[in-house]
Amino acid sequence: MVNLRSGLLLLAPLALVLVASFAIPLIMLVPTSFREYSPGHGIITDGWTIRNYLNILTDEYYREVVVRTAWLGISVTGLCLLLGYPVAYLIVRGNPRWRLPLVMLVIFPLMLNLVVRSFGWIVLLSNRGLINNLLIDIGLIERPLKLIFNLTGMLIGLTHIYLPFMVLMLVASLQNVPRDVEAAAATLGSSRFHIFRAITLPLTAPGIISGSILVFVLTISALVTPRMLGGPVYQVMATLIYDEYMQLLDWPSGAALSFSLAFATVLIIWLSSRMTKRWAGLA
Amino acid sequence: MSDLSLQRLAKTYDGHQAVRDVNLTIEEGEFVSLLGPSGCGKTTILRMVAGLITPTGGSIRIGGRDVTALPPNKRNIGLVFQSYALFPHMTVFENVAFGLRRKKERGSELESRVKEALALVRLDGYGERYPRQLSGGQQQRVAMARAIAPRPSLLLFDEPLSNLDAKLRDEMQIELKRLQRDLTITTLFVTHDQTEALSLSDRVCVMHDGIIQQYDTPEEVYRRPKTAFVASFIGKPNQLSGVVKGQSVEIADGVVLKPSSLEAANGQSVDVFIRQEAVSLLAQGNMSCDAIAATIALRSFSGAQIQYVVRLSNGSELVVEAPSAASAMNFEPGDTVGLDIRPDDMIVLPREG
Amino acid sequence: MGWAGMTDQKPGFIVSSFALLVVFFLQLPVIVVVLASFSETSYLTIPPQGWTLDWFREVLTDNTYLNAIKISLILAVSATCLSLVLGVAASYAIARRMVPGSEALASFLMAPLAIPAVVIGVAMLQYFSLVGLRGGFVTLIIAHVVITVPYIVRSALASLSGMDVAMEEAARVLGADSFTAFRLVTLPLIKPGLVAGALFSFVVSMENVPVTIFLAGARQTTLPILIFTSVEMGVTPGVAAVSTLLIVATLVVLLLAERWTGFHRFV
Repeated sequence: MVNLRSGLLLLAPLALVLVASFAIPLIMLVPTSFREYSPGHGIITDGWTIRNYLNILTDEYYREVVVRTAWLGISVTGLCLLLGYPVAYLIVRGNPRWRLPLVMLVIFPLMLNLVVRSFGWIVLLSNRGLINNLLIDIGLIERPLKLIFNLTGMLIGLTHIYLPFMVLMLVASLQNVPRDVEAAAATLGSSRFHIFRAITLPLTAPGIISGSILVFVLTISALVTPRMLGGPVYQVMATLIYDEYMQLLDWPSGAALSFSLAFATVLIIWLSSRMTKRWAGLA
Repeated sequence: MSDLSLQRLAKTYDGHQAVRDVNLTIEEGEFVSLLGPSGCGKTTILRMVAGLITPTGGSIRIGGRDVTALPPNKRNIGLVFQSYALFPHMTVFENVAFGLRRKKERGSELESRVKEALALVRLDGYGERYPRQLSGGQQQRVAMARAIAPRPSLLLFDEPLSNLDAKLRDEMQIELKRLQRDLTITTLFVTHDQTEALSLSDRVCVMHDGIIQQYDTPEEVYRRPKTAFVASFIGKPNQLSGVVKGQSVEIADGVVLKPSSLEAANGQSVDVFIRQEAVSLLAQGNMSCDAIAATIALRSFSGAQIQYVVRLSNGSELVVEAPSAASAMNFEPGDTVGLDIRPDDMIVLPREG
Repeated sequence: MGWAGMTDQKPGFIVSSFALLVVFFLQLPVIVVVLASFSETSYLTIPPQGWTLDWFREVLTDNTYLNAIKISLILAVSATCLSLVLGVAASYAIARRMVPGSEALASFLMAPLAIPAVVIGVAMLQYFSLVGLRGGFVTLIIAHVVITVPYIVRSALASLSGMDVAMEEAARVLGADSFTAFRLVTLPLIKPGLVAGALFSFVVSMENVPVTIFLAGARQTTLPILIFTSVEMGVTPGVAAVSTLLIVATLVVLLLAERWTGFHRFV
């Protein structure tokens, strides 16, 4: 069929590029992760081991990193939800004249260079940064608060970076809430708060879920912000992978970590899309 | 301008036969409608003729030339879509000029051809407007102008009037008829609206389930349907079942119909189709001996017509449509009436299935 | 107290104020960086102590920065253009169902979005080192195509399925071959969506660190990598100045794009 031939011709270039530069490299991570690394000698090319994977679960240091990464993921997601929902609500249900400026203000930071944004937080949160200087000047505290190169700094920075994503997903979801259902509830005697709790909130559940999944997955994969705001001490999985590859040269361990992280994100995304499909079927 | 010939045309999707073994010829300059309910295969046939769908069997010939393997842009046909499919980013002029430009027409020749086409659909002077600035009917006319401007040898219509409201549809039907008569282009018109098909066409092709049920002039299809489907699809028929007794059909104890033509054997089970408008109602005092006795069960006034539901002695019901201007046929529920049906209007077909 | 007020579900004063505070929070780092780039001291106070344009002068005459800007721009433009061509072609084949398995194909083309960037980075590091292509500029471009093309594909698929296919069919019946129909009818209609996708793609390329840092050779330091590594070595206002320049450039591009296509509807 003519259609099939031209279709394949259109599809082939991109498919080839992706297979050669994306799929194959990823697949090649797997054998590397089963190799052993000997410092000073490089990768030992005969013999397989699952030690790299076991380390993730058994080694105290690795475990701490994994737990910290997951904890960050959950906390950032929660914070983004708490902070983002009111913003989305204001955009969708507030004065229509504010809508475009608000949306632009939410999107603008997204367009900004990630490194620049993280750098901005360094300026803000450092011991001699803006916030500490301000607080000391007005006498609220005597010595600078440690807001950076720790978990607090990473939390603030990551929440800031991923908040726009959450807001945009919630806006899309809120827009789809049929107003008549809320009006019906009002005629049946619901208070404003009750309407929100019993109707608006559940109807935006798909948006809440997809926004949360997105933010969670992005947070646990983040490299730049945790690196810049967490310093060398507080590692997350992405920064650990970076160090193992660039500094320690322990590629097998790095590969095992990478594969685990990738597996986790793909699994989460796949599970959530299965869930939303089932949800949509029930709705 | 060419004739169109479809031979053993077929299209199967994943085991489902949308079109089966269709043989159809449209003469030069003829206006033929493909009429049928949704899913009958008419749109599939149209799109195969246009080259947008590849047939799984059979051939298509335009003007004697086998076009079955040709892409749509090499068939020299015009197609008017149901959604008009006007190019929103181009002016009316550019829309109509599109086909001409593909034929390498340029300059003053192009301009005059476009103006000619627009004049034909009575949209002179609308060249610089954009489709979104036009009403539905005007957009429809631009779509027609665009299709005819390159002077195609065959003109196809895919339910073009379905998106218009009733009044506009009536106006556009007249417009279409006038246009077709002026241009004498061979035309294939797909619709599910039978009034449209009957009033516009030289011949009507009634389709059901992928095959042709009947291909005849509008009058033949209306008066002498050949299959039970056609009989029940065209017009507003009543359907009664009965048994053949000699030259009559007995539909109930003592109730006998005498159709003018009967091609069934004695004792065969048949269906008798009687159009709603083919029944005259006689008052009790005026009844002829052939009239069938019935009682008025329901009366519904709808302006130009009054609809009656009449009940026969065996309980079966008929719907009768009477012009409200005919004062002689004004009854109330409960009245006893006589049904007078011309033998010519009794269509008898063997019971199917 | 009529029905209208009760069923309006407008955000109250508390919710609105809170929301505005959050929006302000979103702009905070940006404001701070801009202020810092004008400050005389290398740390920031409110109010800033002294204003100066020295840092800007320093940055705009420093070859390291200028080079980084140049490389980032060339990379972003090349990758975006390549992604556009490859992505639109593939999206067309999928959207018009010219090949079977459209859903699976679309997922594959957008798969780079699901894999953590750092993992893509290390995978490419290993692979390209193996085939001896690590450190080449073309390699960088291809890597950036991989991470930007999903945005193009997403926009293109949405735009293509959103338009009436009958228009393409009409063009074909009127005598246009497939490519002409695409060029004259489809392309103008999907342009706004493509612009939005291209914008995303450009931004993603310009700010990428996780993939670029593993593949870039010493002479291919992009701007974000430069800032990233500079910060690791200690904060200087020079970094702030560069950042401010980036902010201004982004603002201009955003406003221009909005003016040109009204693309905020497609985000």
